[in-house]
Amino acid sequence: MSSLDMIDVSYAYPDEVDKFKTRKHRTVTVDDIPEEDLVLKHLNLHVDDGEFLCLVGHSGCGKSTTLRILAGLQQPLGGEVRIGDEPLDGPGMNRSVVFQNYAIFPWMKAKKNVEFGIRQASQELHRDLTKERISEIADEYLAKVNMTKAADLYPYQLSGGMQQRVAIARALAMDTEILLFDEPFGALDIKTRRELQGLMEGLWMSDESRKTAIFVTHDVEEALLLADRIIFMSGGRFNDEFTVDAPRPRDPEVFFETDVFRERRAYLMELFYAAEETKLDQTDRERIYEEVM
Amino acid sequence: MPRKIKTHLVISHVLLMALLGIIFLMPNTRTNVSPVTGEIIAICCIEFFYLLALFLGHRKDPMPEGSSDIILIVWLIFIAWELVGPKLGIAHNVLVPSPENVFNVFVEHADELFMNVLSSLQLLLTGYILGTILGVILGIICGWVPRLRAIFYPIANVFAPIPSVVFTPFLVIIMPTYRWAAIMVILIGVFWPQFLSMILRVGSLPPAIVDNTRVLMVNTPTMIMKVIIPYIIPDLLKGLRVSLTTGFLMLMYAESFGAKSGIGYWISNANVFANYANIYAGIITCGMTVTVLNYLSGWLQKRFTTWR
Ligand SMILES: Nc1ncnc2c1ncn2[C@@H]1O[C@H](COP(=O)(O)OP(=O)(O)OP(=O)(O)O)[C@@H](O)[C@H]1O
Ligand SMILES: [Mg+2]
Repeated sequence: MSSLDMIDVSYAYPDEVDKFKTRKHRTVTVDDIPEEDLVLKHLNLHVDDGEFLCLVGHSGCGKSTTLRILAGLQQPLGGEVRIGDEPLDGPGMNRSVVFQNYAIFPWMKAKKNVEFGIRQASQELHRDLTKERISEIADEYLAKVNMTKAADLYPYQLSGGMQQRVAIARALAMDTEILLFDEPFGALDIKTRRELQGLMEGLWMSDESRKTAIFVTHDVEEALLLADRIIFMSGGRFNDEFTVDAPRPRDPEVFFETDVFRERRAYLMELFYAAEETKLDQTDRERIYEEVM
Repeated sequence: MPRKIKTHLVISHVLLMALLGIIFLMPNTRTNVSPVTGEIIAICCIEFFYLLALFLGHRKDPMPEGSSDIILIVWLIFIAWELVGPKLGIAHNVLVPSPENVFNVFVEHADELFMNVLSSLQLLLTGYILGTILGVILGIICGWVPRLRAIFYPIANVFAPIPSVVFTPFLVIIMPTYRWAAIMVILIGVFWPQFLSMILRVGSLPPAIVDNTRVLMVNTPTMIMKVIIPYIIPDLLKGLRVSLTTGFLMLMYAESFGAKSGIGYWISNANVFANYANIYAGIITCGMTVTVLNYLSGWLQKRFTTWR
């Protein structure tokens, strides 16, 4: 229910920033750091209200860092993030996040975890939900992710896939404007992955107020199944982007046989291989695009 | 019932019969043997707990033979003690008092022993509970605030290994009464290890959990009640058990100087008069007290460590 903008966002981790501090010069800005030492390099992005955006790129290209900045866990070194018209400063209840690991509290039972998220959101957004209502919502979302039976189990009693279901239930039950996902299915086997991808798309589509979602992954098929638009990231830059115009819901069996899927997949794979060898420049990209599309 | 346990049951009861036979049928060589009532009561209690452990515990116990093995050893000790003591009179009359005499102490001085145990428990629990509470609260605070952590972590590392008994002369002077000095010895002994383990535990809160609380906008009270406390509880309970042993050691030490009551006082007082029956009775009482306390803290640990 809210658009999101990144305007010239740059970032370097504190250890890197500290290297450029001198006795006279205590506040370091983006301009003091050579561009190759930045983890994120002058990123610009506009995500539409209700858009499902996937961020793809190989390991270490800065996907998680981007997501952490959007979550408010880290402050950009330069530039600014805006949600709607508001500049972003720190974490906020207009976003909910699902991480790859440890997404839920191990000392709370599944349902308590979901309730905790709902209660926090309710407090911050002054929704004034009663205890009974919170419990109802938690049950409703646990049912949506097929976890009703596990409501009273501790995370250690759940498999990785089940834990991620709970984490997704919590994020969705909080009913925030924006959803942020950092490789939520990264540690799961292919079957569980497909199942949860389907579930994810279904839940996102069925929401009457369709949410803005930013989903980080390095799994090409996953990105194509879920995204309205894919951004390819490499070396701290947004290197390329394209839309995936395919009807939803996308059933893998059918969708994987379509030309849209095949072309986009081939293109993405090429980007992956090229990015590995050299930094992509404009001419490379045009050449690859000519070749496959 | 498994066959193995059946054999154990038979052997242990054969031994029990042998013991009773020796007690009632063999004449005493020693002259100063007390009435046998106390010993018989003790034997009945042991048998009762053995049967209880056997019939209630054997389903869950991974080593059902355990309690049966122990009981065999216990009966053998009783038999040997009876033989070398009152029956044949081989052992030293003072150093190895007759079992009848030792268990008679529990009958004759029941109220006295009970009051001493109570007095000991009072000291122990006061020091132990205060030490734990202080250790946990200060440990959480110092673990959470990086600056305090930087100050107190090295200090705790220096003090934690020093046995608190070395502070006794000093504590006796600054504390108003002897009892408070004793409590302080226990308190300090319990405090440092718990404090240190809490600093470490709070400091090791996984970054992923911290990220989680930040994106969920958790405020400080909720952070403490719903995140930090549940996170440290398993370590806290583990610490409770260890420091119970430390506390008990400190208690025995504290009661052996200047005390006017307590089970440690009872033992050291009996020592002065070379009253070995009383000494053994005191040691057995200690054993029973520690067992009960250990059982309670073990139960607490099981009851509240649910999440891992
Ligand atoms: N806490 C940190 N301190 C210093 N440097 C970091 C830190 N976290 C990540 N980096 C660096 O920032 C760069 C980007 O890391 P990031 O975690 O954003 O990559 P990623 O695209 O999410 O990779 P992956 O797919 O493996 O999760 C990497 O080069 C990494 O070395
Ligand atoms: Mg990552």
